Amino acid sequence: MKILSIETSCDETAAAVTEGRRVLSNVVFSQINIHKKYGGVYPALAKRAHEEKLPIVVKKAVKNAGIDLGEIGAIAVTFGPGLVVALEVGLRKAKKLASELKKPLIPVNHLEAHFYSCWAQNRNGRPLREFAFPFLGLVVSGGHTSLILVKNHLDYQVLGQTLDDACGEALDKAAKVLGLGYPGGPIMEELSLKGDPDFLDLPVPMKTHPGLNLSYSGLKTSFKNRVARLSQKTVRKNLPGLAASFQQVAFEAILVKLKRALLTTGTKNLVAGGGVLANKKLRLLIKQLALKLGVKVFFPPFPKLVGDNAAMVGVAGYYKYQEGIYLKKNFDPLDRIARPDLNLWTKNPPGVAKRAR
Amino acid sequence: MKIIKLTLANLEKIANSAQKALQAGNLIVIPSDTAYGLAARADSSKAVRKVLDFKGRLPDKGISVFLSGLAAVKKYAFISSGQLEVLRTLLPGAFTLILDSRRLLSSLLEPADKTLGVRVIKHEFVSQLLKKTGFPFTATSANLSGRGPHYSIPAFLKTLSDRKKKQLSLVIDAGRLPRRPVSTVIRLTSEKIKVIRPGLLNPRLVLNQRTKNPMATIKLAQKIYQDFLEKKLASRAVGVILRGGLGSGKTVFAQGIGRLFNRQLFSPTFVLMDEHPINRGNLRNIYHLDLYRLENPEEINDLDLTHFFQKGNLLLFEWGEKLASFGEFKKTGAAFYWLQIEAKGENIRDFKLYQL
Repeated sequence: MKILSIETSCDETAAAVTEGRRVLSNVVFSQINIHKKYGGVYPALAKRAHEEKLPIVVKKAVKNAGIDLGEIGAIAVTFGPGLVVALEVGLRKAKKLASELKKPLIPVNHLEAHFYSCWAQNRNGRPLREFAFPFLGLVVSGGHTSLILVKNHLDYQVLGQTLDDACGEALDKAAKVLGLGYPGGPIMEELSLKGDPDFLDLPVPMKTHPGLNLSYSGLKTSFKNRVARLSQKTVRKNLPGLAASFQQVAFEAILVKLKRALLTTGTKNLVAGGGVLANKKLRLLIKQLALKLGVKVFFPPFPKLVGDNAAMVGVAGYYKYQEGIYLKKNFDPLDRIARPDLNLWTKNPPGVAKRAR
Repeated sequence: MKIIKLTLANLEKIANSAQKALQAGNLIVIPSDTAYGLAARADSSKAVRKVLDFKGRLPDKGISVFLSGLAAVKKYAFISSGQLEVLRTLLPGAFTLILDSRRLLSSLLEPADKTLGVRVIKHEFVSQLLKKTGFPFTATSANLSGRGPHYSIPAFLKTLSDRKKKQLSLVIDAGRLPRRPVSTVIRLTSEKIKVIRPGLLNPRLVLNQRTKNPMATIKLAQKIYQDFLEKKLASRAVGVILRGGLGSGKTVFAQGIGRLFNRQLFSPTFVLMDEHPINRGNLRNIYHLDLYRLENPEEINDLDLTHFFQKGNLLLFEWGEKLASFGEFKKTGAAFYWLQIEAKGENIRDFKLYQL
């Protein structure tokens, strides 16, 4: 069955056609001028740009797949997490297509889609890569810092997450404290390469705190206080050291919890996604930790699947369809949610989807 | 259209030809540190117009320019001394910096917000050419609007009609370029958004309290909800503008209210707006917003907030001073509070609550 999928949770307008794990087409419209390495919603573009581009992107996805709209068996769409006004655009289009084509509608969570991107294949079914359940899913982006145990298809257990700011957001705000520009992530990464990470001795957040939750708000405040105590001149002269110190601690916080999660669950597979993983230092640290613990790390097989895209939504949608998680005819129960529970529309779908089983 | 092959041996000679073409206001294709680029002299609107015509693009997005170094950046854009330090570390590099423009170059390069995108790169040919011309030239990828960048000249030419080809005076082929991704865009502009000030809104101080730790802030938030907000929610929407610097405790305050209803609230910076259906007592929904990243008032309109201003809805605005359309929301009959938070030490915070 071919699935047409739509993703508009952020500022990429995306549509794709997939068949099982195979990606037949994957169209992402991204603002050329705004190459966002670290993710994040640019509200000015979000809603209007999606409304303008989505019809074109959907048409192109169908055309690139070399099929007719009539061959589509189901529609999959991201319903959250994300910016609600942006999600709404995708959801409205998906509902319209599903009712016009009289096909089922599959609700997909943006985070689960990121995990499935690691198992997407090209048109010819490559790479063969088997599903490696159970795995630990790590998402580090501008909006999320989460550790999720994925025992099987659609079987998620959130082990830990940030209680306030996400890691990418913390990097942005630290850049702001230093008077740097936006987005702060790439600037912090570049400056860090030239700086001494021990310039400032910052506390690693939640290190001694039991459990797997993270927090960045305290680190942000203590960084701000420490910088405020330095003279303007010292700050300017030591930007690389300040950036490196903050980045080191921000990543250390993740590694502490990641290691704890891998050891306590005994999971031997790790799937990592999210915009902050564009940071080479973080990737290296994760790989080193995995090597030490004998854990296999998976990243998406193709570059176009790393950032936000609709192909991953289609692949996730396929496995949800297999489990009977979709809506037929009445699509009203499906609404966009800014920060949905990861188990919504999976194991315990609301009434309508259950009846569809 | 003339195509010439670039080699190390003829670099100087070709840079001379390119300089002449640019000088004459012509459109040329050059290699760069990322993909092939379209170059036209940036100080001539007639030349820049040729770039727009070629790409089939409206002049609303801005076109970056190549500059030779920090001195040139200072000449064409405003930078603070703090930013100068940053640029010293970052440049030359694979970045496009968005800066406030001094408006010395063609206005077609600048989007409506009067910013200029500049690139200072490490690239033998581009550096040579900048040295020879003495004026900046455009740094936009050689492609038609909506298409991807090109790393090989034959592949690029294949996408062009004869009419498009005629618009190019010179194409410099440096062979297949390494597939480096496009540059990272960084904004170093000043904020353009108009900030609202409570002084103009006849504020009435209704509470003035100090807290000594985050736990006390949470308790204070709950007290403010019970003493002030809850009653008002029975008949109208309530908006609270939270004003305080980074790390002052705006999110902690919002979390305090969330805890009354066993809700964990997170920082909404990334999603801009979190929605929490509550339906208990007078409270229908909490909308937790963060305007930190908004840069112009239009962006607030894009959020379509008006229909959230309904009886029983509590809207918490972090960085709420950016709520430029405040007056409009006030007209819906909503009650508004302004919470000023000031950090007085590592953990000490002063809270002043005003009714607007």
